[in-house]
Amino acid sequence: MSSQSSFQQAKADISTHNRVSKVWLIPLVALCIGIWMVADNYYNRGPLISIEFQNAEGLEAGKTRVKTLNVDIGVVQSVVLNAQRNGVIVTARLNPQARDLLNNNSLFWVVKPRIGSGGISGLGTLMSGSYIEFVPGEGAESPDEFVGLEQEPITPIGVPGIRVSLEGNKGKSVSVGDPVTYRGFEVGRVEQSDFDVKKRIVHYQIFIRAPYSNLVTDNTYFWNSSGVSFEASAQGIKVNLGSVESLISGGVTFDVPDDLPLGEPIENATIFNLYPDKDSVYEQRKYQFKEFVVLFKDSVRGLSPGAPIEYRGIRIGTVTDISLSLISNSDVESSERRIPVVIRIEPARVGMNNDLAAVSAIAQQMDTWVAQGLKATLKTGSLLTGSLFVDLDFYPVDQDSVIGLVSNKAVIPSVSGSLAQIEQKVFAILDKFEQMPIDVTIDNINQMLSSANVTMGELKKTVAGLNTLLTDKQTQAIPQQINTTLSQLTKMMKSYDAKSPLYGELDQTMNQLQLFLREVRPLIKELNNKPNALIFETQADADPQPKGLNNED
Amino acid sequence: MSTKIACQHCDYLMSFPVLNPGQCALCSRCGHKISRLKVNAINNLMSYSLTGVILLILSLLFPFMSFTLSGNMMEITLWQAATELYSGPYKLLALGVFAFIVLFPAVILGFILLFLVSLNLFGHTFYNSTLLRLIFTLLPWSMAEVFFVAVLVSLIKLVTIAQIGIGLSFGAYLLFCLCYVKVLTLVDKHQFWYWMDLAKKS
Amino acid sequence: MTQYSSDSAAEQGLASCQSCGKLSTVSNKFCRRCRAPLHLRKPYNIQKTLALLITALMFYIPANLYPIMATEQLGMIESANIVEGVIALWEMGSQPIAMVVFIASVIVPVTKFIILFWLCYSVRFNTHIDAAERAVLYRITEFIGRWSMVDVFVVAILVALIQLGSLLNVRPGIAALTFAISVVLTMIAAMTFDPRLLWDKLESSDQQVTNKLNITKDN
Repeated sequence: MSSQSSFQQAKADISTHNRVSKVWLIPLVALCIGIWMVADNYYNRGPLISIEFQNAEGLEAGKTRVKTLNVDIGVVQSVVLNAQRNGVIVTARLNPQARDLLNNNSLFWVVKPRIGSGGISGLGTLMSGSYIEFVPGEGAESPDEFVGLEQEPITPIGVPGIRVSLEGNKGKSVSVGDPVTYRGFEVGRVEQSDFDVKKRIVHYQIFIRAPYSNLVTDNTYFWNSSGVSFEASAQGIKVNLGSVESLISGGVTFDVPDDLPLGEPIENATIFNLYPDKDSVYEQRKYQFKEFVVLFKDSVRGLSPGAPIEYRGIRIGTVTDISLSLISNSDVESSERRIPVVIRIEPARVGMNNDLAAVSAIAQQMDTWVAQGLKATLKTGSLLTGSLFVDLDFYPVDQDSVIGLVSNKAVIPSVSGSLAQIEQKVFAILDKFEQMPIDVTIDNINQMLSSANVTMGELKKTVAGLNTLLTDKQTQAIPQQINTTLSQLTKMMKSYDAKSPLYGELDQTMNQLQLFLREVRPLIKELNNKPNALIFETQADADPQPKGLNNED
Repeated sequence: MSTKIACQHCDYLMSFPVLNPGQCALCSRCGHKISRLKVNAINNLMSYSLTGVILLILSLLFPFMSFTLSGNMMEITLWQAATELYSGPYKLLALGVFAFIVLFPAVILGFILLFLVSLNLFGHTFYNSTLLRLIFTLLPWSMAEVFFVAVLVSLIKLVTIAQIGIGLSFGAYLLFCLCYVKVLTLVDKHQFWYWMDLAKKS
Repeated sequence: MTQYSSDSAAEQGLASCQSCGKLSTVSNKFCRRCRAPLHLRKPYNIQKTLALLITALMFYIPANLYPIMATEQLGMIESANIVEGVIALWEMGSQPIAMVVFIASVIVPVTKFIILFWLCYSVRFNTHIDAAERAVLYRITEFIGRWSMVDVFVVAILVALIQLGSLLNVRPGIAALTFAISVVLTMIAAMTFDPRLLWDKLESSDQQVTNKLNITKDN
């Protein structure tokens, strides 16, 4: 009974308190703050973007950050497969401040540890885990769906410079990230390389940084700068080592050939040819030319398109074609079953201007030269392969010394190759032997022997003097001095010990050299197999020139 | 009128009067606090419970703490603090932690609110006794305040080795803990059942 | 001689509901207010308490031997058990925190074990120790039980927060789980223990109190 009433009382109490109690302000305030916080958070949250990647390696929802210049600007929210199931779609929530940075040229890629030709990158992510790098870029639109790059772009976006396309089909391939050098100084990087299956050429895109981009002109030639250049010549063997990086990976280098004017700077995306090495730049670059035909009686085995045309050892042109089809059936008789070889005479190779005027001058001169006895002959050129080249020189004028015409091309007459020349040379040597004044020579020898006697006497005196010198105290001190020098040398060598960085580099270089030498081995083997080529060449080269000179006179 | 009651701790038989607000009843044999009625208890209970629920929801929405070490940042929500263990081998532990620091406090506050509101609006309802039994069963298992001490311990532990940031949720959870402790001081088993009895009789 | 002290409700066949505290005659079997089963004393409570305590102790031993948390820093995994963690904290110079962790993880559980075992022993063998004193001990046990969880929560927070890949990350150890189980079991053990047993053996002559409730002004 009374408990009943007390409850009613309590209830009444509650209701009166309800109207006035200030305690209800607390949840009200909490609610208001809560709603404000949620609303504020909702309206001020950053953009939600999706990025497509090929795979989600190293990406974790809720953990992987999105960074630009190493500043956190967002976090990955989810990683899901795309509709085609050949990639992943990464959804990331960026900070509100990042909204202005997003545009259609923004780039995203995953930074993870990579070991590439460009060096080791992303080492920091070994410890912290991968993150998505974001480069704002500049663009008008601001989409929220992006396609991520699989690799860090070689050139950071926004770096001024030019992009040049190269096409090449020879030489070892250049890989993405390889350096582009100008006279040994790195000025850019190879950004892209892909193989065009249809054309069977390799396309490269290279980037050259701003101040250096002016170095690229319309007369610039690009070639593959392999790490090591190996050159065997009469002076011995010369090995050029490039920078360590290009040693490992090669690269591209460029320059304007010495005989060309600097030229005008070029536009973006100009296409250049990529030559396999520096020499082929000089050999293969575009010269203005005049085509001639030479009809050879000899076998042209060993002669290939690209072989040089030389005038007394100076290159003046290139063999372009060897083809029987050049002569029509009607010509067959007249050409006496000779093999037609198309050659180009390139006047710019001998210092003339690289223009059509020089070419036409050559074309006009040719008639005269042929009339004076200019003939073409086949000679063995290469030390190693026995390949042939075409040599032009003046020979005694005969009935062949007229210019012919095959397939609308002037024909330079030819003479038989080396065999006939050897015959000539043998005769010449025999002539010389005949003319040798043997009597006089014997007299001379006698005189020489008598003077040798005198010399011997003087030699005795010298030896005696030497003896006194050797017993001298100062001379005896010399070994000791050598000893100190040696110990100093040992001390110096210690700094090259296995732990020093210098040694490491040296070691690496040596390894590289070893690898290279292994590659060279077949070449040396061939050299061993065909030493006669070497001998033959030198002999063949030695004599004809004076003969030609005589003829000219 | 007073009823007979026995002390829960020593089974001492006593007569028990209706308490006035501001009064506290202690067992005269063992000193056990049998009941305590605070001034304006029901109002305060409801408002603090409601505040607590709101704050707990808020604290689940925002980052709780962040941890920065040499440029690497890790940010967690309260939800993650409780459930991150679940991805490891000790799923039971994760469930326990989640229940102790989020689920049970939320359920207790929610039930208190539900009980008091339905008592005021509808008088006695069939689920009231179930609600009360659940509330008082869960009460010892709700460890919000213990968790907060643990947060402080970890903060001090980490502050020396890395930069620790506290998020919005941290503040929200701190306020929630204060509300929750306030509610704990107001909750009284005897009074709750007594209120239910009154509603039943009316 | 009855089983219960003369002033107890049980002496008069009245049982106080464990769930809602309502006093009913024990013959009702179930509380009329909350439908919870009625008992004069919690059945088999000493046995249950002891069983739970022993289980808790079995979990508490590995909790102290095995690592509670493993820190992997730059690929080096360092794991520490509770005591090692406390020592490390102490040596790092954060003595207050070391004290908090030490109290929560070592002193509290050990105290709880000792008190509960002692209470069970005292009830079983009827030692003449002041009931009020033991009641205070019991209340301490009930109050401090949950604070042992601090260490487990610290582990949970650190595991969630410190995930920086191989730079630094924290993984929970098996001890975190066994320690949590041990704490939960001791809490259940403390709840299972019926403190009314402490007073049952009181002689009525020992009592110097009246059957009057102390009503005090609540502050």
